[in-house]
Amino acid sequence: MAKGINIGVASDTRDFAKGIKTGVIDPLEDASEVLEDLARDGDKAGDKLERSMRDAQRDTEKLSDEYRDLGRQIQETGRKGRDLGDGVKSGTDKAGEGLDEFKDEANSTAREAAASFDGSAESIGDAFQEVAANAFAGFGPAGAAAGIAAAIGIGVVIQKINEGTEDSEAFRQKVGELATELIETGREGGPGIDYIVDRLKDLATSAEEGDENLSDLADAADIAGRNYRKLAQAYAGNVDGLSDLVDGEKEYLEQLEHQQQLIDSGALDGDLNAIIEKIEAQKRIVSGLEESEKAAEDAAAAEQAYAAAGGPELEAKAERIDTIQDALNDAIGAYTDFEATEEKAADPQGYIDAMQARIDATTNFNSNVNLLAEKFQLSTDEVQAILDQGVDFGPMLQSIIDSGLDAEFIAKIQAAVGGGEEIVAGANLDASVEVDADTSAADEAIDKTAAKESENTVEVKADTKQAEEDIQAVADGTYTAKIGTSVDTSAASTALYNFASKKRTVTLQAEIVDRQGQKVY
Amino acid sequence: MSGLRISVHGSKQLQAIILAMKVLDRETKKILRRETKAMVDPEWRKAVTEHASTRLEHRVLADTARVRVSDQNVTLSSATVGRSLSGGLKPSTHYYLPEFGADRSQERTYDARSRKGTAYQVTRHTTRQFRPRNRKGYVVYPAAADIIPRIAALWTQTIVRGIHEAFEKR
Repeated sequence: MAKGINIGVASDTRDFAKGIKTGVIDPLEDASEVLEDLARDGDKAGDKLERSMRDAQRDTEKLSDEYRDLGRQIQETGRKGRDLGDGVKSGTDKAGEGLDEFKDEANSTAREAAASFDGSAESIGDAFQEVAANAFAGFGPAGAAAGIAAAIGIGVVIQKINEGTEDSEAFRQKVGELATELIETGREGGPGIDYIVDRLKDLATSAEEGDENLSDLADAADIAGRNYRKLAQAYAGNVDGLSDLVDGEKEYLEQLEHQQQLIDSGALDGDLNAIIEKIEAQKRIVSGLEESEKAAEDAAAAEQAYAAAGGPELEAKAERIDTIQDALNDAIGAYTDFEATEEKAADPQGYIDAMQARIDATTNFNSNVNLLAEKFQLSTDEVQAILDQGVDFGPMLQSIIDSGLDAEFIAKIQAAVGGGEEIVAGANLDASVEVDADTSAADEAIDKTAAKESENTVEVKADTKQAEEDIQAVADGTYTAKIGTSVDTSAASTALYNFASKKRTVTLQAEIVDRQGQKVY
Repeated sequence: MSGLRISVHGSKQLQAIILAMKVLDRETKKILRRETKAMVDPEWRKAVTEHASTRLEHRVLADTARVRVSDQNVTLSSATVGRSLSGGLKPSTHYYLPEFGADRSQERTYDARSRKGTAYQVTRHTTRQFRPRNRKGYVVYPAAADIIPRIAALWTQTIVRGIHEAFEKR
């Protein structure tokens, strides 16, 4: 039995998908029109849409028998007529011929899209291009332009895909993963060791047909007599010395081919079949390496584009805001702590004071970090390392600054950030710590954070006012009053709601034990 | 009495977005799923919270309300979280008591021991704290019946707007 309660908003989705695949259901002829209507109505249509959904909900109950019959019909057809499904597939595989016919059917673009679910990337692209062009026609001039632009855009993408045989889905995925890794580690010249290890594991365990696979590579390396270890790491994305490796392997391939010619012409003794086998293996190695190399180049380009677009700064900023915001949220959510330490569950003023103290501590901590960042030209990683210590670290940071030990503290932080790999590599940590300062970005981030903070303070105050009233209501009120509270808070934010229900725990426990049962009705 | 779920067979809008999701690329779908979740999740939590009235219902059903979004559907769930409450009640295994009620007249006889140490048997109503049985449910199912049209509308609009925006960017 499934755990808990699960209710799908839409039902019969599986039947629907299967029905289209097997041809029992005609894919919505006017899918693009429906989408178009929805898009044109925009947000104004919310109520209308909701009403029509409510009608559909009612119909679902009324017509449940009909729907069930339809589902059964679909299932049966699916069982009987697999060949029909295959027919659709083989039809779309011949997308080239079929496409012209498709285009004649002006009003069934959605059918094309639906029919090409299982087809090649090309067929999906072509069909969808049309959907795009038509779907936005109803927008007026601007919309039509957008639709055409979309169609052209897709065309360009499809063309790109078709240009290189390597640009398959898997290849793009590889580039994407590598680019993500480069962006995340922020390293120039290659991904981190963790990434390579993960990829190696992936390669070792992936058994899908047509995928590059470690055992295949091992076979090839064995036959051609190459260094398997280096090759495997290169396949997994290790770009250190990749281009040298590729050059070397290509050279070796040429040598082999030269040898083959010599043997073939009788100028050299040797086993011709063996050398041909070697050449085949070596070719596989080289093509794999070239793919890796191209992936690495694309990924590096993507990372550069990301960096040029200001991605890292934004990310660092977002992270800082998160850290600070977490601290502020803690301040709001710290009621349990307060209750535990103060033993005054219904002391609103004390609670609000404690919250304010926490907010002050956060502000203070932030400005101290800001101070250090400016004084020592800290990199964003280093700033984050200090922020990660959390607001509770604030008093210690204050003492460090007060006692003049800040230079020493920063030196340690800088040594520690990214130190792990250097220790392994045997680098002397004290000697060279690269300081990559980008204080302008950090300043900006802090300014933004500070501005955000003040807004938050206002919010927090508004919240506590509400909370204060709630506490008062609970403290003074009777049981009925408490029910009122629960209704009020249900409309408020989740945070406030949690807060309110916590508070109820405290006050109610003492007086309601006996009445617990009655509360149910 | 209105129904609960919406059959895809009966809604052109749902058919359209499900078809559309099939032909979108992976990255766009990922973004759309995330946006849909962001729209729908607060609505569902709010709906369940509004339908829950007792503390038990809040703890077991409202606090555990979640939403899962796939390419083809949006699933509203509650009490699927496995963590026990402070008293030991595990929402995922006993959600049915607050949701569907219990036989309130049920009595159980069990051994007890008096303060002086004498063993004796007591007979108690052990399920009096729950509501009477109701197959239609008290909290999650009524909440779902109420909110599903709205959630379906939000879902549809999010997908349509997302597709539109994705095109404008390209």
